Amino acid sequence: MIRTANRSFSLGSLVTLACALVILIAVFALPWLALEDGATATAYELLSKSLDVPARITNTFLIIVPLAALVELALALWSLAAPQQRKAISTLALLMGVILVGYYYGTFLYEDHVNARTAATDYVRSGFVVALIAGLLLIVLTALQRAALRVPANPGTEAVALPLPRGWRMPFAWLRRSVREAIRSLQLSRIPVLAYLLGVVAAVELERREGETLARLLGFRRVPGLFGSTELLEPFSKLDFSGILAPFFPSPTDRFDAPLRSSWEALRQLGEDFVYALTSHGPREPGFFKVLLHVVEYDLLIFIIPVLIVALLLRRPGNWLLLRLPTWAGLALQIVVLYGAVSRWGALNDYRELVLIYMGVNIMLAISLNLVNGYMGEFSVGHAGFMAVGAYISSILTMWLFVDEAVFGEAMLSVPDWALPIGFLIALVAGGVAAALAGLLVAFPSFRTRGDYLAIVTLAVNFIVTGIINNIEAIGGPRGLNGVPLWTNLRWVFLLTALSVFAIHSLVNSTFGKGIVAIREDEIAAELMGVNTRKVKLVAFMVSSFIAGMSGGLFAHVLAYVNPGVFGILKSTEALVMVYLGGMGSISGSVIAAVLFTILIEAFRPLAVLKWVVVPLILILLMLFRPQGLFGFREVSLNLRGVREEGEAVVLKEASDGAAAD
Amino acid sequence: MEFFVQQFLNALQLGSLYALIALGYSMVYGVLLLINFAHGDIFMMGAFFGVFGSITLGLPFVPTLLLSMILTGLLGVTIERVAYKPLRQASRLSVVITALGVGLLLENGLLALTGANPRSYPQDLVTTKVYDLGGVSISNVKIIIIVLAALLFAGLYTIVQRTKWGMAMRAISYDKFAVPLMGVSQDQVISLTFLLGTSLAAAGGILWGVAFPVLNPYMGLRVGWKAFIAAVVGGIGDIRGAAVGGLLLGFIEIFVPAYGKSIGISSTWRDPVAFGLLLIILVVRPTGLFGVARRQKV
Repeated sequence: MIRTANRSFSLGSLVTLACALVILIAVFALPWLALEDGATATAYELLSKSLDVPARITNTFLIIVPLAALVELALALWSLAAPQQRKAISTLALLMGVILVGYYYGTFLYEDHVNARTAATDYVRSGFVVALIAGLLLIVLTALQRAALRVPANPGTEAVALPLPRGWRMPFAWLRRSVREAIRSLQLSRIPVLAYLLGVVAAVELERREGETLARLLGFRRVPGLFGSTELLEPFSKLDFSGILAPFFPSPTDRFDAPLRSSWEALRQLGEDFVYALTSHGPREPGFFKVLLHVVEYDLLIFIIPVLIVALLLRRPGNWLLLRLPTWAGLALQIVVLYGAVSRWGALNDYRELVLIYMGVNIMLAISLNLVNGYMGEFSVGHAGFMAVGAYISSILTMWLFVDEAVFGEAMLSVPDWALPIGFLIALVAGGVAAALAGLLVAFPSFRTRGDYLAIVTLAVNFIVTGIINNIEAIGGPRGLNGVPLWTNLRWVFLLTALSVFAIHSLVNSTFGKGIVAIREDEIAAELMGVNTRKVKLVAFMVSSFIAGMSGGLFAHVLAYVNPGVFGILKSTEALVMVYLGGMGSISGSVIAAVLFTILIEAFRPLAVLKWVVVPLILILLMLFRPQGLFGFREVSLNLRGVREEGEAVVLKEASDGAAAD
Repeated sequence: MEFFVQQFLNALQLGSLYALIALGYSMVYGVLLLINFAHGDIFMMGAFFGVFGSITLGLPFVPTLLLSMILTGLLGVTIERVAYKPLRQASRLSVVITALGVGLLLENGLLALTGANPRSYPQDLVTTKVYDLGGVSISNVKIIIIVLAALLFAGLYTIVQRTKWGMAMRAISYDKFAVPLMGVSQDQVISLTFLLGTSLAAAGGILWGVAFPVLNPYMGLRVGWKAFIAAVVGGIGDIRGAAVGGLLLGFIEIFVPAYGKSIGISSTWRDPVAFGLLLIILVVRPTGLFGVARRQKV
């Protein structure tokens, strides 16, 4: 542990001090709460006398407010204090923090039960959350600063230093250190994935039993769909930004006499709405801070804590079992448990299942594009074109052969119900094959064309595919194809996603796959070393577009309606975003990025247009601060095969494998 | 014959618009080796600044054009300084992805901040007059667009070929490591490139708005991609190539539906045919019409 005597005022301590002052002033001095008779009162006055809030709550808040301020003050003092005094102060602060959280939690449960007048208390609570978030922000900023100071992971990339002043120090270093030490003592990386998965199963079962009750208690209308992420931004759904610049760019129907003033009015209104959305206003329409707290509480109680407990309990048995099972059996067991967890989680409602299906489709799209962009080092920007081919061919086949509908009339084949899944699979594969053939359109030019010129070829192929579909009246042209049977379900998506991940993983780790990477590193050198670059490119492009085509088929059979507009440049951009978010040349990165991206898109859905402002902003920031993506050119290391515990009898993996083979 | 001349003029008009936008792509690529995917949206911003100039400020055509070119040029330089410059040492692809993000940010940000109503220029910005010359009707809008585009191109060509700044730009695109050693500020040259390229796109945006009077935040998407394709077909990095590529794209887009009807190709086949032809050109000449293959050493 490094202890440096630094008695100078760091900015961090000043900010903490300022936070404390702000809370004190906000609660005791500012008359910012409107009373019914038009007068105003400070939060303190309101809580202590004016309102008939139940006495317990009033008392609690009278304790909480000074407590929060005290915690902030203690932290500020700590960062100013000499090293010898720090330990005592930090212990004190920790103690007070625990008391604060306990009190706070108690009041909120009590208050929701009696459904008392909550508005006033909510305002005060929002004050704490502001303080909390300010503290978190400090931590994040400082962490970023430290990350920026470190030597960049990629040679040649320049770390971008945040514009923070010199002498900035971590005001919560002790907290971060103790949290990190606590986490290290849990030895999370030694826990096998199997144990985590079983933990997830337990958590999902817990949610099925208790989720509804807890969700009600926390004020959700239903069980949070995606860990509460969709509820989080709901309060902002009413914000309207469109008035800010509209006066400067009037449409023919608009009339603005004074653009500057109406723009200012819009801005002011927006500010009011924003504050309104942040703070809570009654139990029907909770504000952002309230929802945030409830979401955190829900996720902690239902998911994080149970998963951790089960995983920690099952660490030793899990490692023991995995070390004795042959590798393939261990993997198969984990995949089965994963499917069980995912399907049970998704079975709670249709929305979750739909999101899971989108996740699977996105994963397939991302890893197939990563094969070309990440492993082979080409720059394909028209991946949605292949998806479109797969979607259309498979939909046409299923509609034409197996279903009675309006476009192609009666089914060509009368197939018994049990055989329909086989027919669906055949249609999906046919879609994939057609997409692979479309991939030839890119593969052949790629023999001579490279880099930006090949990018343009992929782009042109995307335009050509959607353009051709637009022009075939028999499949609906620009109106699209309606009545695609809703055959995609979680089982299919899971199966095909798992197979695709396995296929790409095997491909890039095979001898043949090394040729793909060799092309990325240096095509001419690869050719000189005996790599048949034409064959490698052909296979890579075809495999990539095959998987994209299959994902398109799955996508079509969950939407029930496809039109060429869906598979435009925006879809291709989405695929690119997922690949570069996850990092090039990383399958696990792409998988994680696809999952994150799907959740992100769902979470931002309430923001409407702003969704597509926030997503590119994230992308730009990612590129500025972490150009290699989350996991560029490396995989997440997972404990899939079990590790030996200390003091355990040595059971060699190879020995047990050999025994199984005998 | 009249029909041909009519279509020829239409194609010239569309082609010069594409060429104006393609020039910006090509210049930026020449200097930075960066595909500036935000360029289509910069073109859109140019058209919107035109709305600001012509309606909000009530300016006539030429001042509106100049104002929009200046504002858009400043926007382009700002984008370069904020988003691309920190990534100059990073891998090329991260800059391209950033450019994609900037493009999305511009179009959706503008949509969020201004609302979804379509915009258009006032009728009297350029009062349309149609002249009839032996069965060929020529509107003054077409003439203005073609002449202005030609003038702008000639001006740009002169700057790039005849001035010291132009020489610096060509030098950086030839060898970007040696040029700073000669005392030429790389940053300034890059900023100048962005200024010129984006202001040309702004001119293209205003002329586009005059010719096709519906403006919305997504208008840059399709036009931008097409101009990019034009730049690549001409041989990206070469401004003559960009002009030729733009004109070529314009001619294909107009003449395919105009003469395709007789052989059963309806006007909706315009895009697939245009892109198919461009694909063939790229397969035959992988570095575009004017592009020079960079020799790769092992």
